[in-house]
Formats: sequence, structure tokens, C-alpha cells
Amino acid sequence: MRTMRFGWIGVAAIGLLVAAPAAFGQATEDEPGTENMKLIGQHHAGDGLEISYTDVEVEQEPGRPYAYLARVLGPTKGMDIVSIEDPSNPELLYQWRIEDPELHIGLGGMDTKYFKHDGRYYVIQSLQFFGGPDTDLGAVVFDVTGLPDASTVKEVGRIHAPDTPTGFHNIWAYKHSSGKPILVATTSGPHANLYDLSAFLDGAEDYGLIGRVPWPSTAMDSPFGSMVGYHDFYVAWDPEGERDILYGSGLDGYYIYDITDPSDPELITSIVGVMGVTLAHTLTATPDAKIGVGQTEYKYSPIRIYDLDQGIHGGQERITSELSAWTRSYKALSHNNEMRYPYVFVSSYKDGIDVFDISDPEDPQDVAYYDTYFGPEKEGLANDLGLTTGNPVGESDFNGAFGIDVRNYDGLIVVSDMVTGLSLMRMDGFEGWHGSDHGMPNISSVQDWDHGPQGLVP
Amino acid sequence: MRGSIFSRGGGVALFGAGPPVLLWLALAGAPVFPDQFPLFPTMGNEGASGMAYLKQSWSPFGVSVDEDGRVQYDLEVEVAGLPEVEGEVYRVWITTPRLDPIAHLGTIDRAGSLAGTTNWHQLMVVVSREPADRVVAEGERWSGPIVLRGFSAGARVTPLAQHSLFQQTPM
Repeated sequence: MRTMRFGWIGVAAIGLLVAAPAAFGQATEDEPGTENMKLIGQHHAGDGLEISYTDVEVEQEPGRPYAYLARVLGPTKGMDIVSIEDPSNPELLYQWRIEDPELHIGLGGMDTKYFKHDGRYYVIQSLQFFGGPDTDLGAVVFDVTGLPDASTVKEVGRIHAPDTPTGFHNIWAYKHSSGKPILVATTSGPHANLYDLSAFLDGAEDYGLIGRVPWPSTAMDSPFGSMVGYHDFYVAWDPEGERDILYGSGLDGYYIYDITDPSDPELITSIVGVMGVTLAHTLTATPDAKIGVGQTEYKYSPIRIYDLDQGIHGGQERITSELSAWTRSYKALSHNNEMRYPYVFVSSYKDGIDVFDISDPEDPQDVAYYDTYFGPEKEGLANDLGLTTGNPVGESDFNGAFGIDVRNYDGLIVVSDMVTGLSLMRMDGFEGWHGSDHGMPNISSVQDWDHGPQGLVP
Repeated sequence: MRGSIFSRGGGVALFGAGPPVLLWLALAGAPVFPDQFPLFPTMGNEGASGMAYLKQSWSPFGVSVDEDGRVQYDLEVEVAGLPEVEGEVYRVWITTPRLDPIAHLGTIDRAGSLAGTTNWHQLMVVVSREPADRVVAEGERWSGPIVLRGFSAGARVTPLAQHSLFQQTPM
């Protein structure tokens, strides 16, 4: 009997080996990605230090082929605007740099978002400085309506947050159901700031500050130091509850708020106490606000899929476990993601980008990957940012694909790599995204600046 | 570089010397509330280094002040690892964390040092490479590349919060 049993197991094992698809995993310089993912264009401004790019934002209207790249460290603290009219040949149009960059101690440009208001287009560049001038500066806003004519780009104002110095690590621009363009900003305090950008453009003395989203955590110091508050956000319309929802990633947990009244945010539910989650970094949601995709920002930690429905629509105060998890490599350190249901597009630092499918949220499936970074395994942003040595490259996990965005009308995938700069890609069979193609409301990170979030629901 | 006379350890040693010695040192002009801080190289100037020493100026009356009552400080700057460039010199500037105002302290000598005075204690020290024949007028600022910069203790009062990447960020 014993021999017989091993025989069956052996047969089964051989069968699995035969049936298994080709390995989905390790990229090499010769084969940087899966066959279904194509690199079609790249751009590096040719300036700055070895590490000098952070996040990326792409405009979404067909007549405005522009990508905005946040720049960090050394002399390049600021923002670049790149024309991607010809994706195979991106062209640098404009650069903005903070004054006296050597004396602005810190990273510089971190997150970039655009918005449209009264027929004009604006870009918001978040900034972070920890010493020197402008430690209270959170963001700079530019009017970019006149692109591609770079001479028309004008700085329209700066948003300061003097009571929570060190700037805005992340920002989110959202077309609120009230019709106002809203800026959500991380701060160094136990809250996020909400700004009415129309009031800011009108010259409001308080920069249009209309509310603060509390950080409800009762956590003690995290393993990462004395951090408090939020790391970043996803904000979207909840079609079932007909309300504006902020998905806040707040270090020890994810906190989901109703911000329909920005002056009085209400906590809906929290994702807390999930085993292994000690730095809640990013949370996005499916268009129906029922499934969440959460990231941490450290190695050996998979992307987790959460059942948000029980909390957002079911009244459950706390979600304490994941529905499932996904990773391409156990060593991966994923960073940001863009949800285009059923696909999740992920920037994953030294592993480049990943795409996986959450049609079945309990069983996410591999779709594609493409690596943008092939530097030394240990090389990354130095812990001191190079401020003591003049060289920002040290040993860390922070290198490679930092940011990712997806253009909905044609499916262009836009990636920012800390070293290699901008990469433009296309995935076979993905020629654009509209929620109705997948039985969903047309809700993603892309805003309908002309009609507001209610218009996204058929 | 100078030794640790201004360090915390030095202070403990002075306390151990007893009141008579402390009184004698005070009368002899021992530094009060001294500060020393490193000058870090800017990106692309790896290998350069420096120190700044800020201490109250000597006075037989204990505290040295100017005619407006502001406390006077002696500021000494020492640098190393800066390449010699024909026709150029390294100048030292001091300013506030908001870069306003800016004052020219002087030119680094061949031994790599410079001494001056100021009535600021919340200050930034900036070392730039400048044409040797440049005449600096009052109110002017650096025109060449900044190669070193540092913050006095009083200028470092900002939180290092929010992100793991920043926890070890020095000023």
C-alpha cells in the first residue's frame, strides 16, 4: 500500500510539472518582462544625480499628451514636464526647480497630481524639506493650460502648512461631489489636510483649507520610528452609498472616511490588526468600493486583498484580516498601485512593474511584469539621502520603479523609475479602460473634472 | 579638525574641575553655550568636509554684546578636501534658515580656515566656490556652486517625521 501511495503522489507531481505554465517571475536584462508587456519609449532628462526621479502623473484627455515627473535630490529638486505625443520619443518640455536646491534639505519633489478647473489645467507638485528654507512648504501649483508652449507655464501659488512642517509626502486631487476640486495632503501631524483648490486659486489666505481628516490610530511608536498620520490616499465616489470616500493609509492601519462633508469627515471603517501589516502604505479600491488592494512598503510582504464591502456597506467597524494576497516574488517590495479593475498595475521598486488580475479576489492571477531597474541588488537610496556624503546612493531597498499611472483612453502605462526615469509601456489586449467594459462604474484614479464623480456612474 | 573641547564630554570635565576653576575660566573668557556643527558636502562634492565652531565672543563682563544689545559670537570655519582651482577661492557666507538676510563672512585661507563674528546663532553656513577677483558688496550672495553647508544647533529645530526614509536624515 505504501509503495502504491507514493506512486500516486509521484504521478500527480509529474502531471503538475507537465501542466505548469512557464515560470512567472525573474526578469533579466535580456528578458525584462513578459511577452505581453512592451516597452515603447523611455526618457531621462540627463541631469541630476544617479537617483533623481520619484512619482509620475499622466494627463487623461486625448489632446493633452503630457506626463509630469517629480524630481528629487541634488540640483534637480522640482518637476519635469514631458510631452508623450509620440510615446516612442518622449520630449522634455519644461523643468521647474526649487530655488537654492543645495540648501533645501530633504528630498524635494515627491508626488505630482493635475486638476482642471474653469477650463484651465493645473499641476500640483508636492515637496518635502526638513531643514533650510521652506520646511513649511507643502506644494507648488502651476497653470499648464498653454502646453506644449513651455513659455506659458506659470507658477500660480504655493501651499504652506507651517503647523506641520516637512511638507506633503503625498497628495491626491479629487473632483468632489460638491463640484469643488479638492486636494488631499499628507502632513507630519496626526491628520490629513483637505484644500478647496478653487478657493486656493482665488487667493484664500488659508490656501483653501476646508477640513482635516483625523488619524484615528491609537498606535504607539511604529517599528519605523516616530511617524504619525497618513502616508497616502485614494479618494473615490462610492456608488452604492452615494458619498465621497477617502481611503487613507495610516501606518498601522487603513482608515476609510466619508468626506462628503469635507469639514466633518466621518470614519466608516478601519483595516487594523492585520497580521504582518506594520506600515500601511497604500490602499486602492475597486470601482464599486467593495474590494481593496493594500500595500506595505517593506520586503517579504505581499500585496493584500481586502473585503471592503463588509466595512463600507456592511457596517463592520474593523476589518482584521485579508481576503487573499499576491506577490510575484517573496522578496518583492511593492510601492504604489493603480486600480483598473480587474487589473491592478503595481510599481514595485527593484522588481519593476507588475500587473495582476483580481476578477476573483480570493485568487488573484498573474498577468504581466516588466522590470525597469537592473542595478546592483543592494544599491538604493542612502538612509541619510546622501546629505552627509554628497552621494545619495547607499544600501537600501528604495530604488527602481517608484510610480505608475495608466491613461484610460488608450491604456498607455506610464512608469517612473528612480534611476532610469520615464518608461512608457503597452500591455497586449489592454487598449484602454472604461468601467462599463467590466460591469463596473467608470471609477478609477482618473477624475471627471467636467462633471464630477456622480457622472461616472451609468 | 579641532578636538572635543566644545563637546558634551568637555563640559562634564569642566564641571568636575570645581567652582574656582569655572570662575577662573569664565573670567579668562572660556566659551559659553558653544556649538560646533559639521559642514556637509553638497551632491557631487563627495570628499569635502568641514566644521564650524560658534561660541560667544570673549568679554571681561561675561557676555559680549553689540551696541544694539545683541549677543556677539565668534564663528570659525575649517574645511578640508576641497580641490584648489586656479583663479577661484572658497568663500564663506552665513544666513538664516530662510536665506534672508545673507552675509559674507570672508574667504577661506590656504590653511583651510576662516574666523569671523556674527550676532546670529540660528544660522546656516554656506561655502561656495567663487572667482578670486570677485568683489562682494553688502547684500550680495554667492554666485558660484555651493560646496558645503551646515546648520547651527539653533537652526536645526524641525521635526523629522512622516516617513521611514527620513528617520536618519541629518541636517
